[in-house]
This record gives sequence, C-alpha cells and structure tokens, in this order.
Amino acid sequence: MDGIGGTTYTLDDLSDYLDSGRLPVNAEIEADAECQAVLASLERVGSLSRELVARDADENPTLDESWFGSLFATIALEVKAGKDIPLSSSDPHTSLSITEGAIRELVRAAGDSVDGVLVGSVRLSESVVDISISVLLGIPVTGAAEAVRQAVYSDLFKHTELAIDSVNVTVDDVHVIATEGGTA
Amino acid sequence: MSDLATIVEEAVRAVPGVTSLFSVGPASLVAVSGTDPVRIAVSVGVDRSMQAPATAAEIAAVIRSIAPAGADISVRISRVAS
Amino acid sequence: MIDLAAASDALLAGRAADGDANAFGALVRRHGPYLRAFATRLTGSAADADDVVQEGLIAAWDQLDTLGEPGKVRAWLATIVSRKATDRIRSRKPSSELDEERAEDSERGPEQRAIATSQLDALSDVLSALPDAQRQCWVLKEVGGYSYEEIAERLGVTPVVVRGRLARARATVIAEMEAWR
Repeated sequence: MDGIGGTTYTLDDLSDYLDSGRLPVNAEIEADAECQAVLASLERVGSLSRELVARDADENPTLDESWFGSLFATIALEVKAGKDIPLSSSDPHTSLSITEGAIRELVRAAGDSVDGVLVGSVRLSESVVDISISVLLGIPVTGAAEAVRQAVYSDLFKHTELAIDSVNVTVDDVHVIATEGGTA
Repeated sequence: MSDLATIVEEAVRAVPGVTSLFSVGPASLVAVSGTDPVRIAVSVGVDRSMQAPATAAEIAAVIRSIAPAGADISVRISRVAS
Repeated sequence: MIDLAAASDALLAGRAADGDANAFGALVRRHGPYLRAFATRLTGSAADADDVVQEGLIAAWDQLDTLGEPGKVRAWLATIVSRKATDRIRSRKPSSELDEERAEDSERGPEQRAIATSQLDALSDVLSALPDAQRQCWVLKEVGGYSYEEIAERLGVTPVVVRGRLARARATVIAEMEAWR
C-alpha cells in the first residue's frame, strides 16, 4: 500500500501518530507536506465530530418530562438509607432508630436554609460532622460557615441523640446565581 | 396478620408529624411477622417541625397499644423533611 | 426549594452521592441532552438513545461513589451510557452484512446532502451514511475518546477489527469532507 506523500506512512499510521500527541516527534512526517495536510484533516474531523454532538444537544435542550419522570420514579424507590443510628428506648422490646440517610438529609436542609449557601457533601462519624458548602459570591464566607454550623448543631440536637463534638464546615466552592432567598 | 398491618398503618399515619411510610418489604408499608412474639416494623418520614426521637417514641407507643402483648416493635425514621 | 441549577457539577455529585435525588435530577437536566445526542449518534436511533441514557443514569445513581473526580461528571456519565449503548448494539439481531453496507436512509435527503450549508451538516450526512459498525467505532473514538482496546471490548470484537473499521471510516470521512469543500 502506498504511503502518504513521499513517505511509507499510511492513514492509519498518521492516526496513531496524532493519537500519541505527535510524540515522539517523527521528523519525516513533520517535514512532509501531504502528511501535514492529512494530520490537519484528521484533527479537524475529530473536533468537528465533537462539535456536532454538542450542536445536536443544543438543538434538543429539553428532556421529555415523562421520560424524566419515569427515571426519577425508579431512582426514588431506592432510598440511600445507610446505617440505622439507634435512638434510646425505655422498653427492651421496642427498637427506635433514625437512618444515616435521614440525618444527612436534615443536615443538608439545615445548611441550605442559610442564605446564599448550598450544601455539598455531608460526612458523619460518631461525634464529628464534616460538611462542604458552596457560598454565593459576595456573601461573607466566615459568617455563612458559622451560620451553617449553628443550624446543623441545632437540628442534630433536635432530631438525634448524637453527641456531636464538632461540626466542620469547609467552603470549597462558590456559585454566582442567587439561591432562593439570596441577596444577589 | 394483614388486618393488623392495615390497622397499624392507619394508626401510624395519624400520629402528629408523620408525613409518610416507606416500604419495609415487597409492597408492604408495615412488616408483621412471627407469632410469639409478633414482630412489627415500620419506616417513616417525619416533619422537621417535630422532634424525631419523640415522634419515634410516640409511634412505638401507638403501635404498642394495638399490638398483641409482648410484641417486638421497631420504628425507623428514614426521613426528616418539610 | 433552593436553586440547584446554580450549583457546580462537583457539588451536585456530592449531594447525589449522599442520596439527594433532586441534586441528581439537576445533573440529569444539565447533562441529559448531551448524553442523548451522544447516544443517538452512537446507536443510530433516537428511541434506543432514550432507553440507554435512562438505563445509564439509573446505573450511575447506584455508582456515584465510584465517581473519582467530581469535576468530570459529564465524561463519567458518558462512559456509563456508552456501555449501555454498546450492550444494546451487541444485543441487536446479528446482521453483519448490513453493517458493512452504507445506510440508504439518513435524516437528510440526497438533495439536502448535496447542499449542506455548513461543515457540521456535511459531517452529519457523512456519518449518518457510514455503515453502522464503522460509525459506532468512529463515535466511540472521536467523540467518546476511548482507546482501540476499550472500543473492542465493548463491541465484542478484536482491536484489529476496530482499527480496520476506523481506517475505512476515516478514509471515507476525509474524502467526503474534502469533496464537500
């Protein structure tokens, strides 16, 4: 099979070369005009293909609501409950508990209730809560984190019997559109 | 047994603060098993305006008042939401 | 209800992994259209694409703790969806002869193809007309970014077969795009 330009390299070889990031540098390929033209074409049709799918998505931006609904219904059936955390009971034949999933959800809600805060992940151990949050740009971060800490302590005290040593709030994200009740 | 489950379900729903019951078995919102002792289990969602531990205790008390004597009762709070 | 649409992928992924279905829903709304477009080009069928995207998302919900980098949600979802797509492709009635024939019907008729007004339209026509087997390899390679080995494993063929299909596809695409210009 003839090579491209004045070389013995085939279209396949040039594809492999492109895939490897054109490294190690092949002087013969780099010096051959037709090889360069083919490499440029290969690059172009690759990026055009990605652009084509992006355009397809832009032209069909709405998801069918019943499709979405049936997806949601399937997911909601599986409650990510996690462990059962015991609640005290005076009766040996009665067992009361609250799930880890419920606790995480109420911690999330407590943090979300603070203006300009979106809670990310919640990690619970026996006595320590670690939360990561995103804060609306412009809102003082320390104040927001402290408000989250208070809200979480308060709700955990109300709804669980966990002896919480610390609630650690990490601000690791920023967002720029107001959440409901936000000030931007 | 299924009558007991239905009665328990109705009674649990009537407890202030209970917003929902979750499946505890295939297609059952109240799990009733065993004969001596009878075992009854529910998984509930409660409103965040109510204290979850107190609500759980109240639910257990309500079930206790309906269930055969000596029953094992298990109440699990799976959700605390508004 | 807070506006999760403002949240980053990483934040939504963290919440979703903790069990927040609404956060997962926000990810679906954000990435769903892209996943569907990708799956449509890959499977060649909008109906199949809707199914495999839904199957992929349901699987993703269960695997959120395997998401390594929270910032790369779209690529992670696309990988899961692409597996469901190739599973479906493999379960189709075997018609290897048809696979190698050029598709007669594509979305755009011959007249429209002749006057494709943009490079993207021209490429769309060329890809739609490729034999299914070649188009699948093309989409997995150029859009999905998977390696020959990964593509071979998903399609249930050897890497040699994948190279062959890609070679033919590449030759066709380049020639037809040059001809269009």
